[in-house]
Amino acid sequence: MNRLQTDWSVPQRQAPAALFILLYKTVLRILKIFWPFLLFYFFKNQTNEFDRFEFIIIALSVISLLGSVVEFIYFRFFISQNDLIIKSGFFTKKTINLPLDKIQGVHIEQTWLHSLFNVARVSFDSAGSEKVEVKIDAINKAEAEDFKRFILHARPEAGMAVAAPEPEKPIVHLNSKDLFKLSISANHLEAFLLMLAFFLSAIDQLKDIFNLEYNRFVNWVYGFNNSPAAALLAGAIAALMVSVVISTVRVIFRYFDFRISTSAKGFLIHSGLINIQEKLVPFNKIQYISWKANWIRERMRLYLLHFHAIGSQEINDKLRVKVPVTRDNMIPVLLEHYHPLLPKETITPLRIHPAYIIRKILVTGLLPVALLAIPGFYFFQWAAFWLAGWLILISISSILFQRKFRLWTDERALQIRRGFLGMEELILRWDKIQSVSLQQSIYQEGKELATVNLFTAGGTVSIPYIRLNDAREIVNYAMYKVSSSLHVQQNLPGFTHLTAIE
Amino acid sequence: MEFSNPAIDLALLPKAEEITLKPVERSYLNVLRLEWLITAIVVLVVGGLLVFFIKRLHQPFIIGLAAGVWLLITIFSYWVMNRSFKRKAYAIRDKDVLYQTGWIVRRLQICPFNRIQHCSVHSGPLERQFGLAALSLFTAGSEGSDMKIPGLTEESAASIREFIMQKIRTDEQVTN
Repeated sequence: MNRLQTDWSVPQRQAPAALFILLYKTVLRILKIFWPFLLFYFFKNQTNEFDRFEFIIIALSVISLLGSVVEFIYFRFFISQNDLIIKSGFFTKKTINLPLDKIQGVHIEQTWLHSLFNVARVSFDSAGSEKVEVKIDAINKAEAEDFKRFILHARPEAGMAVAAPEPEKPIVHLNSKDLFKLSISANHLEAFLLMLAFFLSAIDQLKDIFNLEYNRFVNWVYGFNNSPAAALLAGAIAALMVSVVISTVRVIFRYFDFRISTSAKGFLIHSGLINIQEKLVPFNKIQYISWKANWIRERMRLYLLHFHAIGSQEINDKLRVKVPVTRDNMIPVLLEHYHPLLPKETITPLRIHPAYIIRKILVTGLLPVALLAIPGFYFFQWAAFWLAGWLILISISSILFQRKFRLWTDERALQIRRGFLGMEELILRWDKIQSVSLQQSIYQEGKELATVNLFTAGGTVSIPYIRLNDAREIVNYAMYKVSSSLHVQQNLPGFTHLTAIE
Repeated sequence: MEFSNPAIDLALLPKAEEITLKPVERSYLNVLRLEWLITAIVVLVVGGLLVFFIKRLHQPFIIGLAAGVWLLITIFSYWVMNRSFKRKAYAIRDKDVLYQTGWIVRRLQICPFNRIQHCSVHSGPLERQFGLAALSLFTAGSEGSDMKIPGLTEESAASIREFIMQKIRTDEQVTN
């Protein structure tokens, strides 16, 4: 299979379709910036005057469109001396040199526009600290596959020769039954709120522009006033139905034809109905792995597994793949290249101290409620009593969190189970830790408790409110494991700012 | 390759809590006090300008309330600053660096040498007046993972940095 139609050492242009894609992107960008003006001009009384504003908008648009044409014409990529080289720009020329052996992942992506022209976007991620995104907007789909194979298997020592690709081993493939299960169990509340937010903001924007008469709609809604129970029921059923439809559509768009296979370098993940994505998550970039389920999914033993990979925010977004786990035996397979599940039966778990509950209720429940109660009562009178709902919510969630939290450790890894309504479980190898901190508030000091934060290059794992002695033991052990482990294998980026979990 | 995995006696592990930490330079408190003073004055001036230019704020109640809040926060932050200064201390072990800070929340951070990507010494205009510098250690970790030790003398900051770089180099690893 060493067939190579393209000589990659010759500078290549993108596929002609790239021009359309670049223009399309520019048009979208222009519309995004100027849409209020455009809408205003569209509905304004038509006059033949050509004012200064219109001129500026048209001039800016033409300049940016020309910019995309220039970007297309001057874009070249090729491979020279084991480097991937991308040249672009006319006024400011830019050359990116990316050593092939530094490339850790090649991602092929197709949006609906790409599928239309049978092209794909190829992007690369490297072990270095480059913040620039290295990507080729559109090349022929088959060429993209060929290029990917070439890059991933080109061996520096053998010149430009391509090594026989390692066979890919399929491990997960979702069928329609899995998709159905995922849709049914999706977070319908989230889908509903998403829809509501979209609907409200759309109405709000349109109302201003069109001065919409939506009183009739409001009246129709209030018409139910005569029979509140019927209104509530009708509303709930309608909301549920719409939410289920939305969740199903979202699940199908995201997880259609979802499959994972392993190659020598990492997990190859393919998914999507219209926006097709093919990603490679290198094994050595995985810092820790978590999987979680909402309340319904926990009952159905259905999880979303998340590889927390190293890298800058951009790279991490690209690698952020949630893998639906629809069968129990899938988790061990997906953990195989990281660390197997800990034998929980043989390890005594560590738990959070009950003081966590009181503290959490005081700080996140009682304090804000107390602060808001006076102005709340002033403005809304007795309706301010709804604030008590927040207090109840916080109380229940902290109690459940404290009861569910478990930490198991062994000499190579630690495993945490947590959550309040649903559950989340994560596994972290000691040697993936970058630094640790041991924290004690005045309150914790009095009770001999502490919170341990384990920082990894893929996010922070926090162990709150454990006994001080246990916390110290964890910190000391982590430092022992990290210091006796090898030095960081890769040339890691020194400035990652990732969202910490919880 | 032979793989060995001897059992570890947890009681024999080096204990971070038994290390005596070295407090940061006394003169750093002056830097903190100056910073505190400047912040308080800036807030006062900005607030004063707002009250001066916005007619609607010309009410004794609002001015009194704002002044009270300002005074309260300023005094409280001075108190917290003094308290937390006493907690600022660091230590360098054979394989890692420790730094402790905070009064309301006491935080001990440990950063192993073999996870440090690079380190830098920085001194602002105020710190320079007192011959002080801050040492920053950067890891690949997520937010909160990097360490900054302020209030070191310029010489000791430089020598610690040199020591760490030496450590990293002898670990014969990442260079840029």
